[in-house]
Amino acid sequence: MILSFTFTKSAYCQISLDYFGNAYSKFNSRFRLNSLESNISNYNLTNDMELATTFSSEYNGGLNSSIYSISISKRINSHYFYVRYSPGISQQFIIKSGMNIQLPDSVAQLKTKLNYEEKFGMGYAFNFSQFFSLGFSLRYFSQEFTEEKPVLFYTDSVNYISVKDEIAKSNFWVGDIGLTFLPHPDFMISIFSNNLFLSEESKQNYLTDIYSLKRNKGITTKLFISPFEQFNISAGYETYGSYYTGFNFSTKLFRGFLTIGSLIFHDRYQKPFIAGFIPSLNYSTNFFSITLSGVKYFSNRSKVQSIDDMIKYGIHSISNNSYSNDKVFLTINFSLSLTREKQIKLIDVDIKDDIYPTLNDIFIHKPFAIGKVVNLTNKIIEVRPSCLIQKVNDEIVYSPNVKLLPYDTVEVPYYIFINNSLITKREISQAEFFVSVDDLEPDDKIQKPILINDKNSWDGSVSNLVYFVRSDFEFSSKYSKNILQSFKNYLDTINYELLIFNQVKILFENFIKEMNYVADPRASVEHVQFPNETIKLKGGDCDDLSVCFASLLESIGIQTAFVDYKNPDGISHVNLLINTNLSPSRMNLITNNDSKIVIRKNTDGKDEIWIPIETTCLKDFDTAWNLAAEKFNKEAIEEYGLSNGKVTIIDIY
Amino acid sequence: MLLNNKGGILFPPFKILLCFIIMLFVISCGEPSPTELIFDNQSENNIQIEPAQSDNDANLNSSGYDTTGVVNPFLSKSTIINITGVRNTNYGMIQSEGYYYAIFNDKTKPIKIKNGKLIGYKSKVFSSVKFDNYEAVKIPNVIRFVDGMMVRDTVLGIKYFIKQRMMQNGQMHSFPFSSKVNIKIAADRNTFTQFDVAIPSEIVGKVSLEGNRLRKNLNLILEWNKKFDDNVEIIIARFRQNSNDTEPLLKLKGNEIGKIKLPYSILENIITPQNKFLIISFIRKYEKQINNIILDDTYIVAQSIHNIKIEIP
Amino acid sequence: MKKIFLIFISITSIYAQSFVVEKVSGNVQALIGLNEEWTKVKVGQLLKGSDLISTGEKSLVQLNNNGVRFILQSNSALNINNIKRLSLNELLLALAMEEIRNVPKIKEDNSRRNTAVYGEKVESVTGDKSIFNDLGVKKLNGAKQLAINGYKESAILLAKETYRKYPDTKTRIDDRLFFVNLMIELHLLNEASSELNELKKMKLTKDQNEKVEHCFEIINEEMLKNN
Repeated sequence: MILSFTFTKSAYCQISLDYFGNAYSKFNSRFRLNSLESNISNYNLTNDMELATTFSSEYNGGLNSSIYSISISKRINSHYFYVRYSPGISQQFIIKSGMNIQLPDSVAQLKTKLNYEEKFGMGYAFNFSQFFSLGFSLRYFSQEFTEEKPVLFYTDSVNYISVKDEIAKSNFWVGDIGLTFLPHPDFMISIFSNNLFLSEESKQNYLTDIYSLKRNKGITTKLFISPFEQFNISAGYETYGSYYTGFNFSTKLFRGFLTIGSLIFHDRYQKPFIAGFIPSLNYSTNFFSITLSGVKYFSNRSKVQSIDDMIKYGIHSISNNSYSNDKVFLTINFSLSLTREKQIKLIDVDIKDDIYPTLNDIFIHKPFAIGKVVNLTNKIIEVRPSCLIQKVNDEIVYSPNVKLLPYDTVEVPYYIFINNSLITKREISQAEFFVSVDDLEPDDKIQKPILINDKNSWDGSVSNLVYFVRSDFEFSSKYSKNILQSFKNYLDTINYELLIFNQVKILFENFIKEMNYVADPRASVEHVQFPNETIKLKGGDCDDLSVCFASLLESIGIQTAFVDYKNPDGISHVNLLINTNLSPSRMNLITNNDSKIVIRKNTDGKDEIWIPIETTCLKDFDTAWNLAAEKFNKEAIEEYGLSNGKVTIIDIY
Repeated sequence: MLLNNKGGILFPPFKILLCFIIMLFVISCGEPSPTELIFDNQSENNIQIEPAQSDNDANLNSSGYDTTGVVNPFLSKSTIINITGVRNTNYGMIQSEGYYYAIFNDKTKPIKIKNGKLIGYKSKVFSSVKFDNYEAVKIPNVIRFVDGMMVRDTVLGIKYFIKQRMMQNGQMHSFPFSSKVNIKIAADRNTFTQFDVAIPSEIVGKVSLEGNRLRKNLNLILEWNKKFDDNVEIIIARFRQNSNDTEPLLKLKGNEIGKIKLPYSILENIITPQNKFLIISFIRKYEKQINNIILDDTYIVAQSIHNIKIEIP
Repeated sequence: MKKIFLIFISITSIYAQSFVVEKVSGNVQALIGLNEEWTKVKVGQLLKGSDLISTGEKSLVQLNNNGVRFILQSNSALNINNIKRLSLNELLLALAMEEIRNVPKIKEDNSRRNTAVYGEKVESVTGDKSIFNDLGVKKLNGAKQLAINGYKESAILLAKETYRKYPDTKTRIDDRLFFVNLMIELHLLNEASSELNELKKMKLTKDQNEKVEHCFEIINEEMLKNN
């Protein structure tokens, strides 16, 4: 209050108004629908580059149209730059003095011409966060005052008066700072200085003393409130004692939004109390914005006014003062780069898994990366995550859509499909993660390095050995059938019930015959051979052998399961359980010792006899069976391994 | 084809708008006309100025410091009657005088100089001229004129003249300001004409300077005791070089508020360090014409003049 | 809680069951380890956890483990590691394994599964069933003796295992009712009622039926109490 009182003691004109009036709304906020006068802090939501041109038409005895201003703005991340050339922010005065001079052939009335121009301005803003923006503006003004003065020439023969021009020029810069605070999307407050920094370029004389723009310092506060989605109220107050208020209403029209606004203002030194009003009509799409606005002053501006008031009170704003005429403005804003407004932001992506080409299927069911996405809009939007990993995918892989509430942050899963599963070299590749809202370009993306393993790589999870089992079915089936073919005569003679048991036995005996060695399990923990590789190499570790033998059985329809023995020292062991398809009551067909079998209920609810096999035992089938049974009984049953999770049975489907 | 930065083709509205803008650029060539502002009618800035002497520079006044002649350089009238109360202010010293005179020109006898320029007429002689029953003295009517490069004096005839010297204090009790003077002109013993001439109230002027010459806002403030329905003229003159003769420069018409702010710039190339005195004469006058058997084509003037000598710093 | 639990398990496994044969009367045989052949049991022989002992008609064997004595009566069989006191937790863990061991149900079409072998063909083939059934019955007898000797938890486990491995023993309804009562005693109400439900589907005598109904009543009462 004290501050405002101090300032109102001197005389001022409303200086924080510009020709856009109250055109700004939430629906056209990506265009700059205000200018340096009313937005010193340059808070703006322009997302890339923008060109704005304003034409004005002014009635001043006749209709005059001219280019009012041309501005270019550019956003680079949090930085916003604005440059304005404003040939239209100018006002000329002619002051007819009472001095009439008798010239040789006429009578001259001496005049003083005043020319005020704000030639250009520039602004900068930095967005500290979505809540807070700080900026400044610099404006360049030029003034020229020309006074006609009589000069007497007196010689012996000639005596006359001529007219001489006294010219005074004064150019200056005005710098101001402002900040904009948005505690809530529906509430914005701006505070900025008026005439904070001044720098005079030229010397002064009596003409500039009288006529220069008044540059008293002050503070302007502006409020923007949106009580309803489509309705906004704004108000501004200058410490000089001038204020304004307005509202606007937006509605969807075709592919854009129409905003109708109106603003009235009280100016301490314009009459009447409500000095004028600024209606505005704006239509904005994503690509352009057209604003038709105007200023209607309520006092009679066509009346010739006295110079005395002007000398007494001065002029504080070129574009809005007691002598300003009614004007109409047409402004066209373009989005120069047609990047769409960002609706979502991908904050970060956390890659959960390296890529294992052979484990392709699990990546379809299990996200390999989790992205964190924030909804920047006040609408519910559906985000479509997608990604592309070089060397793995030929094209973008889309993951399921995720719904986001307004301003919500959620995690979105990224799935991948591996096109190229025969990767032979382990290397780091680049994964590109995208989020998009519609079918157009992605709204945001992040690139991250990701390890692409070769086809033999394994993540250590026994359940994922299944993929190695399955990958070579064709080979395995051929291999198994070849062996069984040579035992066809024998197999034809045996009890049909024992067919599977005998097939397993024959295959195992032949399989271990081929194998020469068992690799040190420590050597290749995360490397698994494909069945054909194991056969070719004639050996492998427990993983390789279990995978290979399981594949030989599964490929001909014999049901197998991995038994994963987890060891606290980190070296796990894997062997197999094989379904003999025998009912428990037929146990005596294969063994007298019920400790060698595992009864498992099949999916139909019937119990079947499974036998454990230690694939790393290259001696014979019975030894391999006994070894495995011993291990199973001890670790899985007696030590409750199955219950406490130390032993897991993983069925191979 | 218009391409956006992503290589895509710009959609039609953009093109339409671009054309529209170019069109507007073309038609938007008007410049708003200036806003006109004027001074109030009642303003010290309301001045009418003209050079004090027209091209008839042949006839110069001859009355020395007295600038009464200034106002009547040459009048092509048969009868000229002048009643003038003069106040001279010179550095605070005030001197007042009254002048009454009458000249009767014989327009049939013009006097010209070599170049054919008319400088006056031979004067007619009347039996007597009385101002308020004081009989005027006949004195030579000397005029001064420029003949080529020379300034010469010559006598054109006689004029009927009374000079009233006032008290040292400058009070001109005996000059009939705001009153009237009876004039009786006798052609011979039997033929005369008699009439009253109203005398205006005494004019009291004041000259001051305002502003600064370096800041180019030096003004001469001229003020006088404004009266209703006034007819005031102000003559600005300087001294002729090395002479007591004055040289009128400007003639201003008095305005309604009794105050004029005269930009000094008008005089700045007149005032020199050698010659920096100005004489400002405030003149309030009534004029009258009479037509009868004896007098016709008359110019009768009654005036109050205040001459102020100032020095421009 | 979990830590303590795990430590407890490891302790029991360190002191794996081993019994010295103190007394043998009649025909007592053992299946040592994973051997396929039965051998005669002699006094002073050390029997380990996975060894299975079996007694014939009018035979018995007395075992001693550091003063803990166990006499297996005639016509009975059990694994040495069955003679073990279990906590209720251990029992529950062991019971849970039954489920874990099963082939998980999958939604997808399992037509490629080779399960058709099962069924009538099994019945058509005759084998040396009787010995096996005998072993199953002996095991149930062994389980009963475990129960009588206070190894109730082990008894239930052994019975359940026997029913699965020797499905023909399931027809011995009175035995089953014995174990149902044992389950009720140990508050294994769910286990008990599923057993009873299976029994109900079988042909029961009037007396057996009454017993089944009586067990149901008890279970219901117990459940109400718990609630």
